[in-house]
Amino acid sequence: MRNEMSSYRSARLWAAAVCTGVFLLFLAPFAADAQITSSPDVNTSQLANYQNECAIIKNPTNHQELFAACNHAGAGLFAARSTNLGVTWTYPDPVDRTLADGNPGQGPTSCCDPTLAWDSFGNLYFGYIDAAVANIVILISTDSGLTFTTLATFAGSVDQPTVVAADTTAGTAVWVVWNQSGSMRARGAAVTGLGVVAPFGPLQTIPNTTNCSFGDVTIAPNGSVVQACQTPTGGQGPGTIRVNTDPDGLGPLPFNAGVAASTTNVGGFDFIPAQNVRSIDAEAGLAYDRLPASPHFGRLYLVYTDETVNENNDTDIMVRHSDNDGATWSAATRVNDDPAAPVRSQFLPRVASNPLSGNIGVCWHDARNSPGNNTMQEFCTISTPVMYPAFLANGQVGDALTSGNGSVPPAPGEANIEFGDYSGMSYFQGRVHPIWADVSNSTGDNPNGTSRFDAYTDAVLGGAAAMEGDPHIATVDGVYYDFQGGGEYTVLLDSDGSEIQARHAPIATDFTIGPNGHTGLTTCVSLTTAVAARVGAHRVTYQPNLSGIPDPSGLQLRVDGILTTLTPAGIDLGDGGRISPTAVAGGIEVEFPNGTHMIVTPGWWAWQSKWYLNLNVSQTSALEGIMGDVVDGWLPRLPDGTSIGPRPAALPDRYVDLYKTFGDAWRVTTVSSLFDYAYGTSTKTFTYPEWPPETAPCVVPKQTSLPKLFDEKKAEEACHGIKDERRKVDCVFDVRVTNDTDVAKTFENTEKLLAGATVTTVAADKAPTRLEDAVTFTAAVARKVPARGAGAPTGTVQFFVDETEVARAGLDARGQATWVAKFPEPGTYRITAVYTPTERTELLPSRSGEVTHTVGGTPKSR
Amino acid sequence: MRKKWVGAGILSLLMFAAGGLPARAGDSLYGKVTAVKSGDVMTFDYGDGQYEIRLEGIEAVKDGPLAEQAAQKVREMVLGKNARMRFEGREKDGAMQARLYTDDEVLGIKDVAIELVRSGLARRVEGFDLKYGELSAAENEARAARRGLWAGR
Repeated sequence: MRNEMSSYRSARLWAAAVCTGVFLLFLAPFAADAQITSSPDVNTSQLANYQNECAIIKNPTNHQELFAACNHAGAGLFAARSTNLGVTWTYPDPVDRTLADGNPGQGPTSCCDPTLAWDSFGNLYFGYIDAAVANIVILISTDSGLTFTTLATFAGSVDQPTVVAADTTAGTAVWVVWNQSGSMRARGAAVTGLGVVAPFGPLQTIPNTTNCSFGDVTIAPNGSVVQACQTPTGGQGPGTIRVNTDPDGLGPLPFNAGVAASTTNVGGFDFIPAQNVRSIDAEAGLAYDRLPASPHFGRLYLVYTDETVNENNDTDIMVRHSDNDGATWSAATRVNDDPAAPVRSQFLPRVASNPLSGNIGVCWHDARNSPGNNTMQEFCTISTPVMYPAFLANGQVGDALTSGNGSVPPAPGEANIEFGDYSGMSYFQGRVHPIWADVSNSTGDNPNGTSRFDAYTDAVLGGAAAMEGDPHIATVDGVYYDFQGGGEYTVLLDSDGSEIQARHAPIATDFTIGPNGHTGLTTCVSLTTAVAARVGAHRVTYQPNLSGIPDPSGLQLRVDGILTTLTPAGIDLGDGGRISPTAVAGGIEVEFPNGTHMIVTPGWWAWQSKWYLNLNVSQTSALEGIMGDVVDGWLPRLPDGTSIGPRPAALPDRYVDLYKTFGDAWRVTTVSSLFDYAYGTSTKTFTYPEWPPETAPCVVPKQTSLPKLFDEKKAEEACHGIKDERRKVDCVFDVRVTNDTDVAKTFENTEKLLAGATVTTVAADKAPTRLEDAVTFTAAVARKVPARGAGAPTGTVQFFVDETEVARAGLDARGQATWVAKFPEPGTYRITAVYTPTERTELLPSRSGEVTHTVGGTPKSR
Repeated sequence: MRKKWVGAGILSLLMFAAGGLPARAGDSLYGKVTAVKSGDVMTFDYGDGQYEIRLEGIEAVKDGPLAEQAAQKVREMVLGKNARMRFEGREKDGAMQARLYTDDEVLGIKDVAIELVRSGLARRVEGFDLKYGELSAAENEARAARRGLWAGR
């Protein structure tokens, strides 16, 4: 926010410079404050007494599904599942929300230390230490965590189990690594199908790991297995992070002798103010870049905690990498970006790499905002294989500071175990999902208020991005610049293939306008006139009538090339993808299967008989394209991932950088274009390779030129209703360029949608069900553009079964409403939830996609 | 803090009924017990250092023959043998609270605190129990069998 404001101020300075005829080029504002975004925290447990030391995992075969497990202060382990990207959570055992608690069919009774893995066949592995603290238990679920059976039990004096599963060139494997009687042990098994796991191989004692523990294990793309542990296990440091590699995984070779990957000043039981009872360890973690197309495919990342000076409590999160499966290691990079002073602790890190992008996510507990350095918020950051070792600016994920006193006051004789010795994290399909123990009750739904931990999670993504008006770009990492190209461009591209393209149409004028605050350029202008997107398996376009004849009745929506009418029910694209009308007439909202939201707000420019679009994207993990992240340069990266470099001093060089090197690189081709075209036309028809000219005149064939800029004062009056100061500046700019005050209304509509647009999802607590079962449907309403501190949406939800309203309920403090259903006959039912906001709020209504629910049993009519 | 004996059993039963027993989720160090000061305080050597540990959740008899019996039982179970301490937190006086387990081929894996309570050589701390009520079960067994400090009651 600090840099956003500085950028805005800079823009105003540029405007002032124009007005006064003074060129303040030396200001050269460059607001590369990279941002990640998160949503309001979600309390997964909402369970009495405390939960901590959590694990979380995403289903690689269905990225809507997550599973979480934590230590629990009663019998068993807390266990929960989500089928909607972590928005709402249900429980395999809804009665007590725990597994392995002695109930039949839920695994041997547990002590603690849950660990999770999910393979590409859909096998979910749930490991833990049993109640006798004498066995590692591995459960397996083949139905996404609804039920479990015992897969394996490893007996001994055991501790610190970690289970991991991955596809390799040698097949799919599941490995378990743990400490037993002081040394690290490992066993692996081949997996060949859903529920088809070979017996675990022989027990391996990993060499040179005596008195080494508290680490991690990962599987390389080539099948090698790498474990990390910390030695010595006791004391407050210094110590060493050791790494051992089994070069052939399930093959006959054993783990090697290992290497010292790093030293650390964090000992096995290192007391810091935020964890002054339970202490921390370095918590080494491992992750492989598993994307074959990545420039660093097979790179191994190691995260751990270090302390700048032993026992000074200034603990930092560090990352190293290895390009030879752990044999040698790079220098360390500090991940947390807080100032060196005052001393603040960062601790309990987790690392994961998105197998679909190679991006690296790191999350940790962070006391930077804690005046006493004794409370924390969860923080995260992301990097890409190209930008590493740089990371995006750290993002605060936890909504509120939480103390470690989530298990106090303890009963006499009981110790306070604080946050525990690890937290959890999953990174897949562009979303980082951390999970941590939190006693802030920022969600307002902790049954114990602020006295006992609940398990909180969140979804961490790239930032909100925008392309508004006379294209004013906001990149996913918060850099603002104008891009006046002529043609069709890739504006956002995600690692899973999701893509957004935009068409920029040149506008003929007798003037140029600028300079832009970021580029410093004064050029001819253009407008965004059409958008196309790859949404899962579908191609969606929203563009003017293909005939080219101006049509003020509206833009045309096509799905896979077929002209489509958008009804209030929206269009289900499958796998979470959906198109729906906005609450503002003429606009569309597109939900991508990966969770990205896009809002398109059109406006009709009568004088030029043109539609133009504001394009706003939120909750995206996409980092490439015109709106992609700006790393090590002054513009987003080029398609090959490289930086365009620092901003040139000379304006002509900037022009070449922006419109030739960068702009031309992101033009779509006849092959890559997602747009629909009339017969005989293609992307080339809309390409103006020389647009924008560096200087006036700005001539466009067959287009009447705008003679002059609109009066600035009148433009300001037209835009007075815009609340966002940056958008107001853009509005004034665009009203002046277009000589059309209706442009201000389009900006107002965009602002209205960004502030109030909601998304409604509905999920059943179990599925399928039998006729005799009651099933609870939970509708969750969230703001489409997350806003920390804005509070949960308020209002009512109507539940529909096959388009007949069956129930209506008010939203609770979490923005959720439930309906307990009992279906009259077996069959398949379509469930929908429709949200109506409370009156006099900025919130806008929304409708969920359909959820199909199957009910089995014997028909009553028989 | 460790003097309140009355009503401990009732309180623990209430806690158990409410499902509110503490989750013990400490981390393990492996090594040997090198000295036993009492039934519930001993020195644990993990190879690269030592901790003086206090067994979590119990209070061993401190005086008289039973105190020596308690210390002797601990010596028999773990002194000089492979063992595991599971660190549960640092007390205000700096003591390291831990659970202590045998890691021995003959004895197998046993929780020393539970064995002391089961033998009537230690009491469960008021209001405290393990995840599944193991300490209260052991104490009830000792009471029923009139072992150690429960003899003659």
